[in-house]
Amino acid sequence: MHRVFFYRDGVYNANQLLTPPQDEPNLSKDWQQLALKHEIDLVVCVAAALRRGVLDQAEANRYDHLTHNLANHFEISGLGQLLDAALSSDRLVTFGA
Amino acid sequence: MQKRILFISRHAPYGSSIAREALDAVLASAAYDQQISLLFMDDGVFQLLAEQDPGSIGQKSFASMLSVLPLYDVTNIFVHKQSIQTRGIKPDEILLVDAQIIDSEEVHRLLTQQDQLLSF
Repeated sequence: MHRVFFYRDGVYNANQLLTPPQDEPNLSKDWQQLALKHEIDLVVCVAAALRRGVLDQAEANRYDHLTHNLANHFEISGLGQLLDAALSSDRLVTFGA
Repeated sequence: MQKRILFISRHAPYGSSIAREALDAVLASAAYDQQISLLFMDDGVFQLLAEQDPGSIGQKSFASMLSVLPLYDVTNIFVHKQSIQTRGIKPDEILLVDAQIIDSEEVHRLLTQQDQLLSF
């Protein structure tokens, strides 16, 4: 496994402001730990993220927002990264569609 | 080596961004010189209606967005026959005239021919 691509509502996993109740898992943190442990790319689709208010510093600057909220270890990129992974992988597994 | 990638669009054009984001994914993939196909089934067939007027809900017509597909060389377009039949849509109401209308058995065959499937 080499990449997780977050598209559509999946981009909410990359919001560092997620604050679930203490007795519930914080999926954003879980993704970050998984990425660190197994050296997996966590790639967030830029168009889907902008539409849902998940921005890194560069995008926040570009659109004159005062703040940004992309969690650590996630990176914002384009749909090309999804296709690139589809082409270089023998399996592509989709969740939630 | 080229891969065969099928995008499956199964949701109505308005009410959520899923149809739009499926189309975005198809168009982005079209630039990669692969064998891209697109299948509309279930409520996804509502995207294909030529007569759409969503201006009053502040949306752009999906029909005009789909009309760019040939410009991106996405020409392998399929429509699930039973999906349009159960929704009372006639073939001549479908916007993409070159789309092939295929039955469930042919959909099954289409799925088995692919290297990758992406469902929206």
